[in-house]
Amino acid sequence: MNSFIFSSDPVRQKEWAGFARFLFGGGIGAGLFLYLFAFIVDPFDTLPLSPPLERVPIASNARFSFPALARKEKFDSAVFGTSTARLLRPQMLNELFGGNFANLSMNSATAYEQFRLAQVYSRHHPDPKTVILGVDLVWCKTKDEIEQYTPRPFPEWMYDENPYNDFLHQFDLYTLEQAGRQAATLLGFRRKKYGLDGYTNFLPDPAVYDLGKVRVSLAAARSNGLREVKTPAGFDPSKLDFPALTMLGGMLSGFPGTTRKIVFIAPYHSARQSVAGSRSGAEWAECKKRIAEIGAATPNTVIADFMIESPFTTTDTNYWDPVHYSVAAADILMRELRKADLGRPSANYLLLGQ
Amino acid sequence: MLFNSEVFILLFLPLTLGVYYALARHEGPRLWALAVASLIFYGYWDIRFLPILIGSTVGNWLIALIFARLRRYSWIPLAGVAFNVGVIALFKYADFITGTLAAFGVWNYAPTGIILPLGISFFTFQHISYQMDMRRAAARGEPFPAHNLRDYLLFVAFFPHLISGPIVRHNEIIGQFHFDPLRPGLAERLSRGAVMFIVGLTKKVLIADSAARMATPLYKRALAGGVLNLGEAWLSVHAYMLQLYFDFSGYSDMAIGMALMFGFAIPFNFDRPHMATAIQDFWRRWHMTLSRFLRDYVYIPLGGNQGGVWRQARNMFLTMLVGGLWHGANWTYVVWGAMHGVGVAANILWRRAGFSMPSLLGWACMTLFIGATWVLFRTESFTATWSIYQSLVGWHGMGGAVIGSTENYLVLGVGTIAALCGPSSQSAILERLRPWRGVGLAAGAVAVFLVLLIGGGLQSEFIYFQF
Repeated sequence: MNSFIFSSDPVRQKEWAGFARFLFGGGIGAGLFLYLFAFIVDPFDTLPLSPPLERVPIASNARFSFPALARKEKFDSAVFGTSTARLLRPQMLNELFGGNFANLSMNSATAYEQFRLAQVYSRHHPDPKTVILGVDLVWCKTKDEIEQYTPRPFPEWMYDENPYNDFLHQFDLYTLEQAGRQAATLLGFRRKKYGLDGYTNFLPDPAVYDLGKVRVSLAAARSNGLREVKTPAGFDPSKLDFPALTMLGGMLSGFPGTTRKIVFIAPYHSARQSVAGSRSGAEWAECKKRIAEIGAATPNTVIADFMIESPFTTTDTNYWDPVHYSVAAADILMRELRKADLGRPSANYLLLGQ
Repeated sequence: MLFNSEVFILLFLPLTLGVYYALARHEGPRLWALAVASLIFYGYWDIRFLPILIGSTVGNWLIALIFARLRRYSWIPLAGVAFNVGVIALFKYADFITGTLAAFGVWNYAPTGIILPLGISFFTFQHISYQMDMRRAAARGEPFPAHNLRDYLLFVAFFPHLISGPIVRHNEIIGQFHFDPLRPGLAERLSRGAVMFIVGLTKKVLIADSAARMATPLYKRALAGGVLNLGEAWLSVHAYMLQLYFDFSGYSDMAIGMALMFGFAIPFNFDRPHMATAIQDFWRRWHMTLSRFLRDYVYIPLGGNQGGVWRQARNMFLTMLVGGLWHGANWTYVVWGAMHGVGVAANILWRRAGFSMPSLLGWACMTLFIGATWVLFRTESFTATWSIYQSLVGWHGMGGAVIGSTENYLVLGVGTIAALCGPSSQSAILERLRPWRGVGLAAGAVAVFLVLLIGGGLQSEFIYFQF
C-alpha cells in the first residue's frame, strides 16, 4: 500500500521539501500575521497588553462590543435592557439624573445575556450611581419558553474574570472582519457607527416613517391579542415559574444599597399589550407582581410599569412598530423615568410596590 | 476533541507531531508518547470512557498473550471474540435488547441509562479482527506475533482512526510503528498527509455542514409530523446524500492524512461510491474497511459464495443485516441493513442469472435505492420515512423546494459534480499531486481560511461518531 511513501529519490525529496516549506511555512506565516493583526487592532478592546488605541464599539452584535464598555471606569451609571431600552440617550440621562451613563442595552438580548453583562459592569463598578433596567417580555417568559441565548453568538469568554483566555478566541473570520473595520475606523477610512457610550439609534431614517404602515402593524397586533387563549378555568398564576426573575433579583442585589436602581417595564404600544382575561394577561400580571416584590426587597429601587394603557402607549405616532418607540418618544420616556425616580405620579406609568 | 476544531488543529495535532518527531530516534518513548496522546484525545471527550477503552485493550492483549503460550486451545480467541461481543452488547445493545423484549411482554424493561462510549463499534471490531486473525493463523500453523502492550494499545487507540475508523488490521499498521519516522520521504509524507487532511476538512466544513443546513430542517419537520412537498422531499434526499458522503469521507481523509503525517499508511475507506453502477459495487467503494471486515469475519464464515447461488444470497443478506445492526441499536438500522441485504442478494441473483443492465440504468437504480435507504438511516423513524417516501412520489403536494442562498446552490452543484465526476482523495493526493510550490502555498492558505471559518462557530460532530 502506498509505495510512494518510501520514495528515496533525492531530487524528488528536494522538491517535496520545497513543497512542505511553502505549505507549512505559508500557512503558519499567514496564520501568525492574521493573529498579530487581530491582536494589535484588538477589535473588541478586551485583550490585555494590546496597544492602547482609541477603539470604538465596532460589532453590530453588541454582545461583542459591550463587555469592554461595561469595564470602563468612567461610566458610573448604566442602562441595561433590549431594544426597548436602546434609545435612552446617555447624554440626556446625564442631564436628568446626573452621573455619566453608558447604554448597555443589546438588541434581542435574553435575560441571561443582560444578567451576564450586568455582572461584568458590577465587577468593575463597585459603587455605581444609577442603574436603569428595561424589563420586557424576555424577563417574564415561563420555564418552558425561556432561552439562554439567541441565535446570535454570545462570547462567554469576554464575560468572565480571566482576560487572558480571550487570546484563544481571536482566530476566526468574524474577529478578523471586525478587526478590519476597527482598523479602518481608527485610520479614519470608515465612519464610526456606534456611540462611545453605547448609544445607537437603530431606527430607520425618520424620512421613511409611514404612519399608515405603523397602524397596519398595530391593528395586526391588536387582532392577535384578541385571538389569544382565554385563561383556563382553575388556572393558578401563583404556580407559574419565571426563571429569569431569579436573575433579576440577583442582578439588582448585585449593586450596593447606595446605587439608585430604576426598573421600568417597557412601554409596548397598548395594541401589543395583553388583553384582560387572556392567559398571557394573567401571566404578565403575575410577573409584574413578582417584579414588584423583588423591587420591594431591594434597597433604593423604584419599579415603574409603563406597560399600561396610557397617553404614551396609545399615541400611535410614538411608535415605529408595536414594541419600538421613536427617538422623540424616548425623550418623553426618559423624562418620565426621572419623575418616577423622584416618586412623582404620572398617567404614563404605575409605581409598583409603593 | 473534534478534528474540525481549533483546539485540535492548532494545539493538539502540532504538539503531538512535534513531540513524536522530537523523539523520532527513540522508538519506545516516541510510541508511548503517541499512545498517551491518543488516550488524552479519547479522554478529552469524556474521561469516563477511558477505562472502557483501556480495559478492553488490556483484556484483548492478555487473551492474545495467553493464546500465544497455549496455542492448542483454539477456543481462547473465540472467548476473546465473545468478550468483545459482550462489551459491545452491554454498552450499545443492552437497552435495545431489553426494550425489544419488553415490547413483547417478556421483560419488565427499565432502561439502563448506559452511555454509548465513543468509537466503541470501531475499536471493538479491531479487537475482534485481531482475535480472529490469531485463531486463523494458529489453525494454519502459521506464526502469529504476540505484540507488546504498547504496540497493541497504539494499534487500537491511535487517535486518527480511533473514533470512526478506518477499521485497521493489526498487520497493516503495527509493523509500521517500528519504521524510522525520519526515513527518506519525510517531507513527502508530511506534505501529502497535510493536503489530505485539508481536503478532508474542506469536505466536512464547506460541503457536508452546508448540505446539513439544507437537509436538517426538512428532516426535523418530517420527524415532527409535518409533511414535505415533492421538491422538498427530493432536496432532503439529495442534500443528505451529499452531507453523509462528504462528512464521512472527509473524516476518513483527515484520518488517513494525519496517519501519513506520522509516517503510517492506513487503508482507504472510500473510492468514489456514487459512481457505482450496482449495489454490490457501491459496498465495495463505500466504507470499504467495514465491508472488508464484514466479508472476512461474517460473510466468509457463513460460507461465502460456497454452496450455490441461493446460499450466497442468504449469506450476503445476513451479512448486511449484521452491518445494519452495527450502525445502531435500533430496529430502523436492522431494517436498513435488511433492505441492503435484499438489494445485494438481488444483485447477486441477477448477475448469476446472466442478466445485464446498461451502466447508466444501473447507476440510476443504485442511486435511487441508496438515496431511499438513507432516508430511514437518517430519520431512525418508520413513520417519518414512510411520510418522506410518500412525498417523493408527490403524495403530499407537487411544490418545489426553497434552496435559498447562492451558497446552497453552489454546495449542491459542486458537491454533486465532485461526488459523480471527481477523483477519489487518495488518487488525487497520494498519486497525482505533484510537488509544485504554488499548490503548497494555496493549500496552506486554504487551511488558514478553514481554521478561521471553524473558529467562529460551533463545530458539528461527524455523523459516524454516533456509531
